[in-house]
Amino acid sequence: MTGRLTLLGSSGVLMMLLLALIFLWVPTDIVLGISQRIFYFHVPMALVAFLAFGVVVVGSIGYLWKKSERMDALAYAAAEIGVLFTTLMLITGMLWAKPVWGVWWTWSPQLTTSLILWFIYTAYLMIRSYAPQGDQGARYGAVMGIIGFVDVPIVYMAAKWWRDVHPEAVVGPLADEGSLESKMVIAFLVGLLAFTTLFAYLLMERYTLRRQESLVERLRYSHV
Amino acid sequence: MSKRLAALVVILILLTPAMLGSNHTEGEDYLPFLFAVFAVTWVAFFGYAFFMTRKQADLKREIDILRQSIEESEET
Amino acid sequence: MTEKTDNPVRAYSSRTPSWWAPILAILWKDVLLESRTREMVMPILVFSFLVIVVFNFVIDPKPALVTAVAPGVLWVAFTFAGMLGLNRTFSMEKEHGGIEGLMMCPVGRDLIYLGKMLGTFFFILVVELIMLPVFAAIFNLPLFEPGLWLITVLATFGFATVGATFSAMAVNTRAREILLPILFFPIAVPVIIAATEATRAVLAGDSFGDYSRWLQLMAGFDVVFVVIAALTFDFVLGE
Repeated sequence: MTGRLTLLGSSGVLMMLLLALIFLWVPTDIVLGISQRIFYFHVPMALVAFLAFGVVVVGSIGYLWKKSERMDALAYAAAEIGVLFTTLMLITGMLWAKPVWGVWWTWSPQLTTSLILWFIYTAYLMIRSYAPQGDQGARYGAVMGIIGFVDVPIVYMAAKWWRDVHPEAVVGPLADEGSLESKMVIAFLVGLLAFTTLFAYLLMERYTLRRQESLVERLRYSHV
Repeated sequence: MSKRLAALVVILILLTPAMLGSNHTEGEDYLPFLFAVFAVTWVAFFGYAFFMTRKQADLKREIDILRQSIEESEET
Repeated sequence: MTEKTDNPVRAYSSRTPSWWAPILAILWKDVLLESRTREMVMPILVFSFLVIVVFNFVIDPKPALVTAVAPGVLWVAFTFAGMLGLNRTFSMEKEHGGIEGLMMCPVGRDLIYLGKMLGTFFFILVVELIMLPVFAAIFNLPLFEPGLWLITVLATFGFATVGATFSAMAVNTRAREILLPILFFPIAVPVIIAATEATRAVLAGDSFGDYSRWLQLMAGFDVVFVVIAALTFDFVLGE
């Protein structure tokens, strides 16, 4: 219980610190202007989205290997939260690209891979909800999680090589990897820490909730 | 549990306008997009917290129903 | 049909290692089924043909533009054909209780997977090999490029590896026809990109070195996922 409170508290504090840094401390980017500050939200959320999928695959392998229902709950919770972070990452990415470069979307390798990640998450959640009762949903989800995780780096490679062949399709702040001043790096790290702690908190809550759901389901079926 | 998250979100929403006011440099037409980023982020997390609260309430109701039916079947 | 042809396991077992026999048996069963009924190859062929024709109507038929979009059109048609072929992999088994029958065989589940996967692979490949000349004719493109065939084989194998697993999963759900594309497309994206870009390079006359990395990507995909899918198929079939 106290662990959860500390997580929530620290993520709250870190978030406020992050906001302070974003608005009062970091220098304005010369090229991109004020909108570049979206970067401090967008990129940490992207990294957490990928981290969440790592948790999904750990839970998936753990479930298939040990038949552990806890591992399965972990995978499911991480997938739900992961889809949340991925959606936010895509939306903030679009909100960043539009004012600066005039386009809502760009096929940079990072954004392309994130979009595919979003689809893989969605596929995971859908196969779990459409599978028949019992442990089939967990098993199917676990296989999907493993396949999806291995696929993501391959998608990134393919997207990168594709960009090299079609450079005119890719434009925008997300395409370039410019250098960052040290203050920006610090703010970015704070942002990463803030969103990771928030992710950890949400994961714990959803995990507990999920385990209760499974318990209730088992009770319902054993009793009816 | 979600009450705490809601409190966190409210605090952050209150802080945001206070800090937005301190920027009057060029490129102010970027500000709506910056606002949108924060707004979408808070709405998303707040929404997820709400979703978890509702699931918790549903579960509680279901547990009560189950407990009732167990008691009834034990009486017979 | 002689007894020898009807029981390929016995026919082969004296010469092949014991793990090949079940794979070939399952593969042969599917081939036999399809060659006798021919109920799937024809409609998929007609469908692929239609896709190519529709594309010709929706794009501006300037010659330069047509050449530019030809690789994409080809692989969209092949991807859709692959989808239909994958639907078929386990749907007939499901309808006639074949899945339980397969599970009762005293055979490793990964071998069952390989047999079904190869059956799907050859099935889709046959459709594609028939479609390639049609495509070449419509788009006025060179047909006898060995590169094209290699690309098709590698990509179709990739489709079959993950597709067989997803087909087995989707067939047990309530929305099987729509779930299979949702599962399949995101995972198959690298194969589709690689196949299209490699085809584009081949048709543009690029040297092998230019597009060899796309072939490597597809080959890598094939190897990695055939292993993963074979190892996890036990979990997909369940008890």
